[in-house]
Amino acid sequence: MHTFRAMNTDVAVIAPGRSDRALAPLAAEIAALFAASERRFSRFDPDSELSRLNRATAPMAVSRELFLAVRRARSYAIATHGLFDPGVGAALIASGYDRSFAPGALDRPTAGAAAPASVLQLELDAATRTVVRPPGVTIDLGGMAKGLTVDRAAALGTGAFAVDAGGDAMLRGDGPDGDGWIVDVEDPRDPARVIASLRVRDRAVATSAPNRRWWRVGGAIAHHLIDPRTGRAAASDLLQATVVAPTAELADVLAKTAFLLGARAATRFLDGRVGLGAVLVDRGGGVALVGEVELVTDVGCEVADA
Amino acid sequence: MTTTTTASTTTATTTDRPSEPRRAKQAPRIGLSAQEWRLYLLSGLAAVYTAAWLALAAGVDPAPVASAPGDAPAVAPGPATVWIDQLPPAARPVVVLPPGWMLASPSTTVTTVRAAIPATRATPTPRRVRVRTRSS
Repeated sequence: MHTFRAMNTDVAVIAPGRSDRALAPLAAEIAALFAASERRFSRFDPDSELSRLNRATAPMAVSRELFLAVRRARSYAIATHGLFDPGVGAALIASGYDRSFAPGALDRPTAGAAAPASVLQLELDAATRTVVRPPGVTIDLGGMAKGLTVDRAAALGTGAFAVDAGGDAMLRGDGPDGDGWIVDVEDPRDPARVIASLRVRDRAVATSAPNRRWWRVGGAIAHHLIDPRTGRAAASDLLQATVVAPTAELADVLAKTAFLLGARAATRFLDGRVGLGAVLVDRGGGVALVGEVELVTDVGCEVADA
Repeated sequence: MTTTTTASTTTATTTDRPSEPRRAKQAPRIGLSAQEWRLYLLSGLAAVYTAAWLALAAGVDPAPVASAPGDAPAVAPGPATVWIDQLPPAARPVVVLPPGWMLASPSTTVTTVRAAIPATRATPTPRRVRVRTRSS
Protein backbone atom coordinates (compact mmCIF):
# COMPACT_ATOMS: atom_id res chain seq x y z
CA MET A 1 0.00 0.00 0.00
CA HIS A 2 1.20 3.52 -0.79
CA THR A 3 -0.20 6.75 0.57
CA PHE A 4 0.14 10.40 -0.29
CA ARG A 5 -1.58 13.68 0.46
CA ALA A 6 -3.70 15.40 -2.22
CA MET A 7 -6.93 17.38 -2.46
CA ASN A 8 -6.66 18.13 1.26
CA THR A 9 -7.07 14.47 2.12
CA ASP A 10 -5.09 11.25 2.49
CA VAL A 11 -5.05 9.04 -0.58
CA ALA A 12 -4.23 5.34 -0.40
CA VAL A 13 -3.28 3.10 -3.33
CA ILE A 14 -3.94 -0.51 -2.37
CA ALA A 15 -2.90 -3.56 -4.37
CA PRO A 16 -3.04 -6.70 -2.24
CA GLY A 17 -0.36 -9.21 -3.09
CA ARG A 18 1.94 -6.71 -4.73
CA SER A 19 5.09 -5.57 -3.01
CA ASP A 20 5.53 -1.93 -2.11
CA ARG A 21 8.48 -1.81 -4.47
CA ALA A 22 6.43 -3.13 -7.38
CA LEU A 23 3.59 -0.73 -6.59
CA ALA A 24 5.78 2.37 -6.26
CA PRO A 25 5.80 3.44 -9.96
CA LEU A 26 2.02 3.13 -10.25
CA ALA A 27 1.53 5.00 -6.97
CA ALA A 28 3.75 7.80 -8.27
CA GLU A 29 1.72 7.93 -11.48
CA ILE A 30 -1.49 8.17 -9.49
CA ALA A 31 -0.02 10.90 -7.28
CA ALA A 32 0.83 12.87 -10.43
CA LEU A 33 -2.70 12.34 -11.71
CA PHE A 34 -4.14 13.74 -8.48
CA ALA A 35 -1.79 16.72 -8.62
CA ALA A 36 -2.82 17.47 -12.20
CA SER A 37 -6.48 17.09 -11.33
CA GLU A 38 -6.16 19.40 -8.35
CA ARG A 39 -4.35 21.89 -10.52
CA ARG A 40 -7.26 21.84 -12.94
CA PHE A 41 -10.31 21.57 -10.69
CA SER A 42 -9.38 23.27 -7.42
CA ARG A 43 -11.57 26.18 -6.40
CA PHE A 44 -8.92 27.30 -3.91
CA ASP A 45 -6.00 27.58 -6.33
CA PRO A 46 -6.32 30.95 -8.08
CA ASP A 47 -4.29 29.64 -11.01
CA SER A 48 -6.38 26.52 -11.57
CA GLU A 49 -8.35 26.26 -14.76
CA LEU A 50 -11.60 26.19 -12.79
CA SER A 51 -10.64 29.40 -10.94
CA ARG A 52 -9.90 31.07 -14.25
CA LEU A 53 -13.31 29.96 -15.51
CA ASN A 54 -14.92 31.26 -12.33
CA ARG A 55 -13.32 34.67 -13.01
CA ALA A 56 -14.00 34.72 -16.75
CA THR A 57 -16.19 37.55 -17.93
CA ALA A 58 -16.17 36.39 -21.55
CA PRO A 59 -16.65 33.03 -23.23
CA MET A 60 -13.73 30.82 -22.27
CA ALA A 61 -12.34 27.83 -24.14
CA VAL A 62 -11.51 25.15 -21.62
CA SER A 63 -9.72 21.83 -21.60
CA ARG A 64 -11.50 18.66 -22.63
CA GLU A 65 -11.40 17.39 -19.04
CA LEU A 66 -13.03 20.49 -17.58
CA PHE A 67 -15.57 20.72 -20.37
CA LEU A 68 -16.65 17.10 -19.91
CA ALA A 69 -16.77 17.48 -16.13
CA VAL A 70 -19.01 20.54 -16.39
CA ARG A 71 -21.20 18.78 -18.91
CA ARG A 72 -21.59 15.76 -16.64
CA ALA A 73 -22.31 18.07 -13.71
CA ARG A 74 -25.20 19.52 -15.69
CA SER A 75 -26.48 16.02 -16.38
CA TYR A 76 -26.35 15.20 -12.68
CA ALA A 77 -28.17 18.42 -11.85
CA ILE A 78 -30.96 17.40 -14.22
CA ALA A 79 -31.06 13.79 -12.99
CA THR A 80 -31.25 14.83 -9.33
CA HIS A 81 -33.82 17.55 -9.95
CA GLY A 82 -31.27 20.18 -8.98
CA LEU A 83 -30.24 18.68 -5.65
CA PHE A 84 -26.72 18.08 -6.87
CA ASP A 85 -25.57 21.32 -8.42
CA PRO A 86 -21.93 22.49 -8.47
CA GLY A 87 -23.17 25.96 -9.39
CA VAL A 88 -23.53 26.73 -5.67
CA GLY A 89 -19.94 27.93 -5.35
CA ALA A 90 -20.99 31.50 -4.61
CA ALA A 91 -23.27 30.30 -1.79
CA LEU A 92 -20.41 28.21 -0.36
CA ILE A 93 -18.10 31.21 -0.38
CA ALA A 94 -20.77 33.48 1.11
CA SER A 95 -21.36 30.99 3.89
CA GLY A 96 -17.67 31.10 4.78
CA TYR A 97 -16.10 28.25 2.83
CA ASP A 98 -13.77 30.56 0.97
CA ARG A 99 -10.49 28.73 1.47
CA SER A 100 -9.22 25.20 1.85
CA PHE A 101 -10.79 23.69 4.92
CA ALA A 102 -8.98 23.33 8.21
CA PRO A 103 -10.67 23.04 11.63
CA GLY A 104 -11.33 26.55 12.95
CA ALA A 105 -9.93 28.29 9.88
CA LEU A 106 -13.34 29.29 8.54
CA ASP A 107 -14.89 30.53 11.81
CA ARG A 108 -16.29 34.06 11.52
CA PRO A 109 -18.82 36.31 13.24
CA THR A 110 -21.13 36.72 10.26
CA ALA A 111 -21.70 35.23 6.86
CA GLY A 112 -23.15 36.60 3.66
CA ALA A 113 -25.68 35.24 1.24
CA ALA A 114 -25.66 34.58 -2.48
CA ALA A 115 -28.42 34.49 -5.04
CA PRO A 116 -29.36 30.97 -6.13
CA ALA A 117 -27.28 29.84 -9.09
CA SER A 118 -27.02 26.67 -11.14
CA VAL A 119 -24.68 24.97 -13.57
CA LEU A 120 -27.70 24.80 -15.84
CA GLN A 121 -27.25 28.53 -16.39
CA LEU A 122 -23.90 27.89 -18.09
CA GLU A 123 -23.83 27.89 -21.87
CA LEU A 124 -21.65 25.18 -23.38
CA ASP A 125 -20.45 24.94 -26.96
CA ALA A 126 -19.09 21.45 -27.61
CA ALA A 127 -17.58 22.39 -30.98
CA THR A 128 -15.19 24.93 -29.47
CA ARG A 129 -15.31 23.59 -25.90
CA THR A 130 -16.34 27.05 -24.82
CA VAL A 131 -18.14 27.85 -21.59
CA VAL A 132 -20.12 31.01 -21.08
CA ARG A 133 -20.51 31.71 -17.38
CA PRO A 134 -23.17 34.18 -16.31
CA PRO A 135 -22.15 36.47 -13.44
CA GLY A 136 -23.12 34.91 -10.12
CA VAL A 137 -22.48 31.32 -11.16
CA THR A 138 -19.40 30.04 -9.37
CA ILE A 139 -18.59 26.40 -9.97
CA ASP A 140 -17.40 24.13 -7.19
CA LEU A 141 -16.61 20.65 -8.47
CA GLY A 142 -15.23 19.60 -5.05
CA GLY A 143 -16.23 16.02 -4.30
CA MET A 144 -17.21 15.29 -7.88
CA ALA A 145 -13.69 16.16 -9.06
CA LYS A 146 -12.28 13.93 -6.36
CA GLY A 147 -14.56 11.12 -7.46
CA LEU A 148 -13.64 11.40 -11.12
CA THR A 149 -9.95 11.46 -10.20
CA VAL A 150 -10.38 8.32 -8.10
CA ASP A 151 -12.08 6.63 -11.05
CA ARG A 152 -9.29 7.58 -13.43
CA ALA A 153 -6.65 6.46 -10.96
CA ALA A 154 -8.36 3.12 -10.31
CA ALA A 155 -8.50 2.48 -14.05
CA LEU A 156 -4.70 2.44 -14.11
CA GLY A 157 -4.48 -0.69 -11.96
CA THR A 158 -5.28 -4.30 -12.70
CA GLY A 159 -6.77 -7.16 -10.72
CA ALA A 160 -7.68 -6.48 -7.10
CA PHE A 161 -6.87 -2.81 -6.81
CA ALA A 162 -8.26 0.10 -4.83
CA VAL A 163 -7.83 3.84 -4.64
CA ASP A 164 -9.20 5.49 -1.52
CA ALA A 165 -9.25 9.28 -1.27
CA GLY A 166 -10.41 10.05 2.24
CA GLY A 167 -13.45 7.81 2.07
CA ASP A 168 -14.26 8.21 -1.62
CA ALA A 169 -12.96 4.89 -2.90
CA MET A 170 -13.04 2.76 -6.01
CA LEU A 171 -12.60 -0.94 -5.23
CA ARG A 172 -11.78 -3.00 -8.27
CA GLY A 173 -11.93 -6.77 -8.53
CA ASP A 174 -12.92 -9.27 -5.90
CA GLY A 175 -10.76 -7.92 -3.14
CA PRO A 176 -7.69 -9.24 -1.37
CA ASP A 177 -9.00 -12.76 -0.81
CA GLY A 178 -11.40 -13.09 -3.69
CA ASP A 179 -14.49 -12.66 -1.52
CA GLY A 180 -14.92 -8.93 -1.91
CA TRP A 181 -13.54 -5.78 -0.32
CA ILE A 182 -14.62 -4.94 3.21
CA VAL A 183 -15.74 -1.34 3.59
CA ASP A 184 -16.26 0.06 7.06
CA VAL A 185 -18.79 2.87 7.30
CA GLU A 186 -17.73 5.36 9.92
CA ASP A 187 -20.14 6.33 12.67
CA PRO A 188 -20.84 10.06 12.12
CA ARG A 189 -21.32 10.58 15.88
CA ASP A 190 -18.05 8.92 16.83
CA PRO A 191 -15.32 8.68 14.18
CA ALA A 192 -13.58 6.01 16.22
CA ARG A 193 -16.48 3.63 15.67
CA VAL A 194 -17.70 1.71 12.66
CA ILE A 195 -21.44 1.70 12.18
CA ALA A 196 -21.62 -1.00 9.51
CA SER A 197 -19.33 -3.06 7.32
CA LEU A 198 -20.14 -3.86 3.72
CA ARG A 199 -18.80 -6.38 1.24
CA VAL A 200 -18.15 -4.68 -2.09
CA ARG A 201 -16.97 -5.99 -5.46
CA ASP A 202 -16.06 -3.75 -8.39
CA ARG A 203 -17.90 -0.82 -6.91
CA ALA A 204 -17.16 2.61 -5.53
CA VAL A 205 -18.24 4.13 -2.23
CA ALA A 206 -18.60 7.71 -1.09
CA THR A 207 -19.99 9.31 2.03
CA SER A 208 -21.54 12.71 2.66
CA ALA A 209 -21.98 14.18 6.12
CA PRO A 210 -21.47 17.54 7.75
CA ASN A 211 -19.62 16.11 10.75
CA ARG A 212 -16.11 17.00 9.56
CA ARG A 213 -16.33 20.13 7.43
CA TRP A 214 -18.17 22.56 9.65
CA TRP A 215 -17.35 25.96 11.08
CA ARG A 216 -18.83 28.59 13.34
CA VAL A 217 -20.66 31.63 12.05
CA GLY A 218 -21.42 33.70 15.13
CA GLY A 219 -23.21 31.30 17.42
CA ALA A 220 -24.39 28.99 14.65
CA ILE A 221 -22.84 26.06 12.86
CA ALA A 222 -22.37 26.13 9.10
CA HIS A 223 -21.27 23.23 6.89
CA HIS A 224 -20.28 22.51 3.32
CA LEU A 225 -23.36 20.64 2.11
CA ILE A 226 -25.29 23.48 0.49
CA ASP A 227 -28.89 22.97 -0.54
CA PRO A 228 -29.10 24.50 -4.03
CA ARG A 229 -32.81 25.20 -3.47
CA THR A 230 -32.05 27.64 -0.64
CA GLY A 231 -28.38 28.50 -1.09
CA ARG A 232 -27.87 27.63 2.57
CA ALA A 233 -26.38 24.74 4.50
CA ALA A 234 -28.76 21.81 4.13
CA ALA A 235 -31.01 20.85 7.00
CA SER A 236 -31.53 17.10 6.74
CA ASP A 237 -32.91 14.41 8.99
CA LEU A 238 -29.85 12.37 8.05
CA LEU A 239 -26.52 12.50 9.80
CA GLN A 240 -24.75 10.72 6.99
CA ALA A 241 -25.34 9.10 3.62
CA THR A 242 -23.03 6.48 2.14
CA VAL A 243 -23.64 5.33 -1.42
CA VAL A 244 -22.28 2.32 -3.30
CA ALA A 245 -22.23 2.89 -7.06
CA PRO A 246 -20.40 1.80 -10.20
CA THR A 247 -18.11 4.86 -10.12
CA ALA A 248 -16.73 7.07 -7.38
CA GLU A 249 -17.98 10.17 -9.18
CA LEU A 250 -21.54 8.86 -9.21
CA ALA A 251 -21.25 7.66 -5.61
CA ASP A 252 -20.22 11.15 -4.52
CA VAL A 253 -23.03 12.80 -6.45
CA LEU A 254 -25.64 10.44 -5.05
CA ALA A 255 -24.33 10.60 -1.48
CA LYS A 256 -24.80 14.38 -1.50
CA THR A 257 -28.20 14.00 -3.12
CA ALA A 258 -29.29 11.39 -0.59
CA PHE A 259 -28.20 13.58 2.31
CA LEU A 260 -30.20 16.52 0.97
CA LEU A 261 -33.24 14.38 0.25
CA GLY A 262 -33.43 13.01 3.75
CA ALA A 263 -34.12 9.46 4.88
CA ARG A 264 -37.50 8.76 3.33
CA ALA A 265 -37.02 10.47 -0.03
CA ALA A 266 -33.48 9.16 -0.41
CA THR A 267 -34.71 5.61 0.10
CA ARG A 268 -37.35 6.10 -2.59
CA PHE A 269 -34.82 7.74 -4.90
CA LEU A 270 -32.14 5.06 -4.61
CA ASP A 271 -34.03 1.84 -3.99
CA GLY A 272 -34.45 -0.48 -6.96
CA ARG A 273 -31.81 1.16 -9.10
CA VAL A 274 -29.43 -1.36 -10.61
CA GLY A 275 -25.93 -1.24 -9.19
CA LEU A 276 -26.74 1.26 -6.45
CA GLY A 277 -26.94 0.84 -2.71
CA ALA A 278 -26.81 3.09 0.32
CA VAL A 279 -26.32 3.17 4.05
CA LEU A 280 -28.29 6.01 5.61
CA VAL A 281 -27.75 7.11 9.21
CA ASP A 282 -30.53 9.23 10.67
CA ARG A 283 -30.41 11.69 13.53
CA GLY A 284 -31.65 9.10 15.95
CA GLY A 285 -28.74 6.80 15.09
CA GLY A 286 -30.88 4.42 13.04
CA VAL A 287 -29.19 2.81 10.09
CA ALA A 288 -31.08 1.96 6.91
CA LEU A 289 -29.73 -0.22 4.14
CA VAL A 290 -31.07 0.66 0.71
CA GLY A 291 -30.71 -1.20 -2.57
CA GLU A 292 -27.74 -3.38 -3.42
CA VAL A 293 -25.64 -3.51 -0.27
CA GLU A 294 -24.22 -6.62 1.33
CA LEU A 295 -23.84 -6.20 5.06
CA VAL A 296 -20.96 -8.01 6.70
CA THR A 297 -21.51 -6.97 10.26
CA ASP A 298 -22.83 -4.07 12.23
CA VAL A 299 -21.26 -2.60 15.28
CA GLY A 300 -23.21 -1.16 18.13
CA CYS A 301 -26.24 0.01 16.18
CA GLU A 302 -29.53 -1.46 15.22
CA VAL A 303 -29.69 -2.01 11.49
CA ALA A 304 -33.00 -1.70 9.74
CA ASP A 305 -33.24 -2.99 6.20
CA ALA A 306 -35.27 -0.41 4.33
CA MET B 1 25.96 -37.16 -96.11
CA THR B 2 29.26 -35.44 -96.99
CA THR B 3 29.47 -32.26 -99.06
CA THR B 4 32.61 -31.30 -100.92
CA THR B 5 32.91 -27.88 -102.44
CA THR B 6 35.42 -26.90 -105.04
CA ALA B 7 35.84 -23.70 -106.88
CA SER B 8 33.88 -24.79 -109.96
CA THR B 9 31.69 -27.68 -109.14
CA THR B 10 29.91 -29.02 -106.30
CA THR B 11 29.39 -32.69 -106.08
CA ALA B 12 27.64 -34.52 -103.42
CA THR B 13 28.10 -38.08 -102.46
CA THR B 14 26.15 -39.94 -100.00
CA THR B 15 27.76 -42.40 -97.75
CA ASP B 16 25.90 -44.46 -95.25
CA ARG B 17 27.37 -44.18 -91.76
CA PRO B 18 26.42 -46.13 -88.80
CA SER B 19 23.79 -44.14 -87.05
CA GLU B 20 24.84 -42.49 -83.75
CA PRO B 21 22.71 -43.03 -80.70
CA ARG B 22 20.14 -40.21 -80.42
CA ARG B 23 20.64 -37.97 -77.39
CA ALA B 24 17.70 -37.28 -75.07
CA LYS B 25 16.45 -33.70 -75.41
CA GLN B 26 17.61 -31.66 -72.36
CA ALA B 27 16.62 -28.26 -71.01
CA PRO B 28 19.31 -25.68 -71.59
CA ARG B 29 21.44 -25.35 -68.50
CA ILE B 30 22.62 -22.03 -67.06
CA GLY B 31 25.89 -22.70 -65.53
CA LEU B 32 25.91 -20.11 -62.71
CA SER B 33 27.62 -20.53 -59.44
CA ALA B 34 26.02 -19.54 -56.15
CA GLN B 35 28.25 -16.48 -56.05
CA GLU B 36 27.00 -15.38 -59.47
CA TRP B 37 23.39 -15.95 -58.43
CA ARG B 38 23.97 -13.64 -55.46
CA LEU B 39 25.40 -10.95 -57.66
CA TYR B 40 22.42 -11.13 -60.04
CA LEU B 41 20.02 -10.94 -57.12
CA LEU B 42 21.78 -7.93 -55.63
CA SER B 43 21.88 -6.08 -58.91
CA GLY B 44 18.18 -6.82 -59.43
CA LEU B 45 17.29 -5.45 -56.02
CA ALA B 46 19.44 -2.39 -56.61
CA ALA B 47 17.61 -1.73 -59.86
CA VAL B 48 14.20 -1.99 -58.14
CA TYR B 49 15.38 0.29 -55.32
CA THR B 50 16.71 2.89 -57.77
CA ALA B 51 13.52 2.84 -59.82
CA ALA B 52 11.36 3.24 -56.70
CA TRP B 53 13.54 6.06 -55.42
CA LEU B 54 13.36 7.93 -58.72
CA ALA B 55 9.58 7.45 -58.85
CA LEU B 56 9.15 8.85 -55.36
CA ALA B 57 11.51 11.73 -55.92
CA ALA B 58 9.63 12.74 -59.06
CA GLY B 59 6.42 13.20 -57.05
CA VAL B 60 7.88 15.62 -54.49
CA ASP B 61 8.30 19.28 -55.11
CA PRO B 62 11.65 20.32 -53.85
CA ALA B 63 11.48 22.94 -51.11
CA PRO B 64 12.75 26.29 -52.18
CA VAL B 65 16.18 26.80 -50.81
CA ALA B 66 17.72 30.20 -50.58
CA SER B 67 20.98 30.14 -52.37
CA ALA B 68 22.53 32.74 -50.16
CA PRO B 69 21.59 34.35 -46.85
CA GLY B 70 20.87 37.65 -48.58
CA ASP B 71 18.42 36.24 -51.12
CA ALA B 72 15.01 37.85 -50.98
CA PRO B 73 12.20 35.32 -50.56
CA ALA B 74 9.61 35.14 -53.28
CA VAL B 75 6.75 36.16 -50.95
CA ALA B 76 7.19 38.67 -48.16
CA PRO B 77 6.45 36.85 -44.89
CA GLY B 78 4.06 38.10 -42.20
CA PRO B 79 5.33 38.91 -38.75
CA ALA B 80 6.91 35.87 -37.21
CA THR B 81 5.13 36.33 -33.88
CA VAL B 82 1.80 37.90 -33.03
CA TRP B 83 0.72 38.31 -29.45
CA ILE B 84 -2.73 36.89 -29.02
CA ASP B 85 -3.98 39.99 -27.25
CA GLN B 86 -2.88 42.12 -30.22
CA LEU B 87 -5.45 40.38 -32.39
CA PRO B 88 -9.00 41.69 -32.45
CA PRO B 89 -11.16 39.58 -30.11
CA ALA B 90 -13.11 38.07 -32.98
CA ALA B 91 -9.92 36.91 -34.69
CA ARG B 92 -8.37 35.27 -31.66
CA PRO B 93 -8.06 31.52 -32.06
CA VAL B 94 -9.50 29.16 -29.50
CA VAL B 95 -6.56 28.05 -27.43
CA VAL B 96 -6.86 25.12 -25.07
CA LEU B 97 -4.07 25.13 -22.54
CA PRO B 98 -2.77 22.23 -20.53
CA PRO B 99 -2.99 22.64 -16.78
CA GLY B 100 -0.42 25.05 -15.46
CA TRP B 101 0.03 26.88 -18.78
CA MET B 102 -1.04 30.41 -19.39
CA LEU B 103 -1.41 32.74 -22.33
CA ALA B 104 1.40 35.25 -22.40
CA SER B 105 1.25 38.83 -23.57
CA PRO B 106 3.98 41.47 -23.81
CA SER B 107 2.78 42.94 -20.54
CA THR B 108 2.63 39.64 -18.69
CA THR B 109 5.34 38.66 -16.33
CA VAL B 110 5.49 34.95 -16.82
CA THR B 111 6.22 32.98 -13.73
CA THR B 112 6.74 29.29 -14.03
CA VAL B 113 4.45 27.35 -11.76
CA ARG B 114 4.65 23.61 -11.64
CA ALA B 115 2.11 21.37 -10.08
CA ALA B 116 3.79 19.84 -7.10
CA ILE B 117 3.48 16.09 -7.29
CA PRO B 118 2.95 14.72 -3.81
CA ALA B 119 5.52 12.25 -2.59
CA THR B 120 4.18 8.77 -1.99
CA ARG B 121 5.31 6.59 0.85
CA ALA B 122 4.97 2.90 1.42
CA THR B 123 2.67 2.13 4.32
CA PRO B 124 2.41 -1.27 5.97
CA THR B 125 -0.58 -3.08 4.53
CA PRO B 126 -2.75 -4.64 7.22
CA ARG B 127 -3.19 -8.39 6.98
CA ARG B 128 -6.89 -7.96 6.41
CA VAL B 129 -7.31 -4.93 4.15
CA ARG B 130 -10.32 -2.82 5.01
CA VAL B 131 -11.35 0.48 3.53
CA ARG B 132 -13.09 3.07 5.67
CA THR B 133 -15.60 5.43 4.11
CA ARG B 134 -16.44 8.72 5.76
CA SER B 135 -17.20 12.28 4.89
CA SER B 136 -14.05 14.14 3.92
